[in-house]
Amino acid sequence: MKFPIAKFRVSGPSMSPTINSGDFVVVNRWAYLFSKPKIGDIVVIRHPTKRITMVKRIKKIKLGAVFVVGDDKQLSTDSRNFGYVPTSKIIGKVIFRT
Amino acid sequence: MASLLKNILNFAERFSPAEIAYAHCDIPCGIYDPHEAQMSAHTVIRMDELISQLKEKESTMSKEEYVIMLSRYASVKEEHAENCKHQARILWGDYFKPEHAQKYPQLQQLVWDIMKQGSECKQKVDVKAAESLLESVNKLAEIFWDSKGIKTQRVKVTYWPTNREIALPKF
Repeated sequence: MKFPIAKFRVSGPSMSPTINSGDFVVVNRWAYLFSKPKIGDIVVIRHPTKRITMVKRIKKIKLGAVFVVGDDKQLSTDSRNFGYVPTSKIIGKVIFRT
Repeated sequence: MASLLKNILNFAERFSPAEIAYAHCDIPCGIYDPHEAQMSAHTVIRMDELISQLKEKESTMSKEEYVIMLSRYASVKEEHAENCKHQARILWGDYFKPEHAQKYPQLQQLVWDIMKQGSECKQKVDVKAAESLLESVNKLAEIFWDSKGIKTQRVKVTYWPTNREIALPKF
């Protein structure tokens, strides 16, 4: 099992104004071990098809998958383009940003 | 407290760089504009007109000259009809989102129309077909600007030899 806390540096504007490009986010990798993702959570996820990591907000939930969007909908490429993302792709929940 | 943590994270960055979490998965340039498609639609009309005029001049030209000019016009017409389709695909696939499709139910049909009209313009020398393509592209431009809350107006472009309308944003 991986260490529960991980840090990521954010690149890109799609989560602004909540998170800006260049900010750090601290993620709890164990957040969803004993509880389920909630609508409104900001999560770091793996892209469903590409080998990249993204930060997005959960907008909808269905069994085993989440629909994530950026806070800046004009600039964001997200589940509106690539659909629901399996919860297994969630790396962790953002617990701190600076 | 926040700045202290940021300083700690910045310091830690020297020893163990953080993985990048992208807030985008494509280049998030956000730069979209239907103008290129509109220019291409006008170009297709112009090429159709020039091809028609060339037929009238055929007797005054050498065969080689005629073939070269016809090839050039046909090539540019092909390229710009394809560009109309390409630009419409970018707007449809990259810019427009499901909420736009709900707000503008005609959007899907309009993009299909541009695909078919673009192909028709490649196959024929037909000003009417090219005008239909321009009309669809102008309608797409009007939806695009409306989605950004910007009003449009149809302007007759007198400074282009096509002398036809274009839907422009009113800033």
